[in-house]
Amino acid sequence: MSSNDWEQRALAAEAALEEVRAERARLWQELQRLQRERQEVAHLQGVVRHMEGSVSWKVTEPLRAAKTLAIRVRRQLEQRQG
Amino acid sequence: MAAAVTVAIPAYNGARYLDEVLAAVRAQRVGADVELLVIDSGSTDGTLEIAAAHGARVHSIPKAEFSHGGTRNLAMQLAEGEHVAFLTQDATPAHDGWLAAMLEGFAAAEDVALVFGPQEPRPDASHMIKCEMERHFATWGGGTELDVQRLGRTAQEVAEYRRFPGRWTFFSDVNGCVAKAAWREIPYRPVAYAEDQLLGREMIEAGYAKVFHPRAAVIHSHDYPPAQFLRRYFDEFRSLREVLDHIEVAHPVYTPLTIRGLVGHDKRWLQRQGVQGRDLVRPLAVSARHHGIRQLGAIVGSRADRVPRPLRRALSLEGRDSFTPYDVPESPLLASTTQPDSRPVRLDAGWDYDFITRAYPSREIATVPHAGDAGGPWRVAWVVPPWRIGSGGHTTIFRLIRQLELRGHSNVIHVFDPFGHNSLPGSELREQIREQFVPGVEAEVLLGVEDFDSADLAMATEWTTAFPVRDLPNCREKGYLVQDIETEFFATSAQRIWAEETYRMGYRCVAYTPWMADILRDDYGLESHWFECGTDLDVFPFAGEEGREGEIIAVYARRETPRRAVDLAMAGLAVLAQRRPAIRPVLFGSRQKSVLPFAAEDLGVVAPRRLSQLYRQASVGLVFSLTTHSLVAHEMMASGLPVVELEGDNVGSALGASGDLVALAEKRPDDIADHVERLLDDREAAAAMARRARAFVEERTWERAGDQLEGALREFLANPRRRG
Repeated sequence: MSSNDWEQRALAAEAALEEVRAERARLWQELQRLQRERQEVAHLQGVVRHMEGSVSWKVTEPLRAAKTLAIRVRRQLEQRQG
Repeated sequence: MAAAVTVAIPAYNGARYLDEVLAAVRAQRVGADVELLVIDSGSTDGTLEIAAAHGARVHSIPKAEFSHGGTRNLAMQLAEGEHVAFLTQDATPAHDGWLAAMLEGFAAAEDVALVFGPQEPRPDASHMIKCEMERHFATWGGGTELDVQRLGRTAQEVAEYRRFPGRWTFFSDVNGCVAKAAWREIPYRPVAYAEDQLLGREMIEAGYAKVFHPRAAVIHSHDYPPAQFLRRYFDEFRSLREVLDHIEVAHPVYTPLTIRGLVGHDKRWLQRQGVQGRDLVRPLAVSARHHGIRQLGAIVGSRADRVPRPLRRALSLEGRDSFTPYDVPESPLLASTTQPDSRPVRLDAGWDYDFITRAYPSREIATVPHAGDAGGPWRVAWVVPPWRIGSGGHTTIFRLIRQLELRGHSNVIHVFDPFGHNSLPGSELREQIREQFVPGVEAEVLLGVEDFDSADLAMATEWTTAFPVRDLPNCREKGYLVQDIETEFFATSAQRIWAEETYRMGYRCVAYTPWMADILRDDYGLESHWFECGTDLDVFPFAGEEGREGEIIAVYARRETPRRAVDLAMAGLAVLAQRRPAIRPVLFGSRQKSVLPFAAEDLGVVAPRRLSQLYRQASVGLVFSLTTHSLVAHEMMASGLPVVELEGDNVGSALGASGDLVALAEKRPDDIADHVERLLDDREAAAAMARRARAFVEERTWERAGDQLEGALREFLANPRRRG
């Protein structure tokens, strides 16, 4: 085997190693993004829990129920007319 | 041979279910002798005959002698077994493994005093009762797992117990077993009702364990007509007030919401049973009535002390007109004060310095062994404290991160916030970095270090962060970005000790300025590299003498940081104002108000572009640094503004000790006034100094800082840490 072959193989190995390192860094970054999104979901769940647990949310629930009912009734009327 | 376990049933005219109950007890499959004990208080309906037919040992007492606590104490005394399982005369063991499950509960731990099991409703019970019982017993082990309750000793556990004691104290002798050894120490109390709740509370507060065993189930439920329900709940909640001091909330908003919530539970329970649509209307109307009555009974019952005696009797299902609070002795485990004149101390497990408590005993910096491969791209995790917009230290960190990103390295920012300053999620913090600090930063921002996974390099950036970074797992190397001598930020204090401790952890450091690196190397023996910050030349363009107004002096007066020696600057200006009353100092950098003996203006905290405008207008800039020199000096120098700083190694090593780049005043008001006055008077010399200063700053770019940091980190990775 010539010294040229060795050089070629060493260069190829180095290039492969660099690729692996770059891929590892990319996957690591992806992992950080997923971790951040997971934290985001937990944060938003907390916000929703806090909001839905508030007195103002509970007190105004009849208004939301009335609105939902009104929409449903209107749709049914529209369907009948349509 | 003495029985190992006794099943005890207080009875009074209980013929309706007693035969079924006793037959179920006799059918128990348990590897121990079972004694069946019935305490009768004057039954006339055949109860005694039924008991005798099942071979029960019957002990009769006069009806007048019956009390819930007293009669059960009598049963405990008479019982041969070391464990006494109590049933009521209408609670039927659900299967033949009921008693074995009770005894199994005591094997869960050595300190178990009480074991109890779920109660399943009889088939004819109303949907409200079925739903309530299902929900109630799901409190422990989800209703399906064995659950041991014990009063914890930590602040958080005690606080939780105080918030919802029922989770720990609930015990029911409708279906509960008592260890005689524990009962000898804490017997039933002579209370009219709720004797089991009191026993549960006392046992838990004495430090015993209590066990819920899901297989120790009985069939038991009561249904009454509405008026009787009202009276029943009146009795129950009067007793809870007497023994647990519970007062049911009565509130024009919360009470209807509670009823609505209970009806909602019933609705979901009915839906799970397949009841849908219009079929729900009627049962939910019944639910609403039931829970309305329940809340009324609970509110009035828990305020029975305010109800007239005749009305009390009329409202009570058991016809009792008394109200006798039971004074439960204070548990030593819960005692919050030993001094009668002490103030309460709030219990909170989320203590600010918990990270310090957990950091000791001191440990070595944790890294994984590696061969010294410094090939990139690297994965770099930065742990930073929370920030305020405008924070200079954070701007530097984010600029360095950006520099690493531009060189192809991946970064993540963990915000370590033991003091709870931050309320924003990671995504918003990331946007803040990009919009308010350094555009283009790509690193994700994570809250805390709990989600830390791995990194080639983990970097601490401030003294508090050095503690968690030390213990992060799966890191090849760890470093400490030191921008200032943080011990100097504190007076003699715990914080000073802890900050200094971080310099003794053996971190490999990258310090801002050679001066800082020398201190870390010489005073603490640390491996120390250094970098110098760049300046935003776009934001701070050079301006010559034209447009500068003679007497305007730009003064960095950040009172929040004592190392800026603001009062020394003011003293110097006061001396100067006596000599030159026309001077007009313009202060900036602080949210605090100033009271001064000379005319001045205060911009407060303003954006860099506004400062740039001031630097181009003023004739002299005053910025003092008692530790690492401020970047504000660089920005003034970039803008062509002649600067006066304080002399000292910290400034001299970075900006030259000769005074060619900035004027260096002694730390005396008169000398400060002299230096400012000299610059105001000799504009030619001042302009020459400003030009030299601009050239100096131009050499110090952020790209250069990025190279210096990357070089230091490469050194870390190429030369693995020597392990002790």
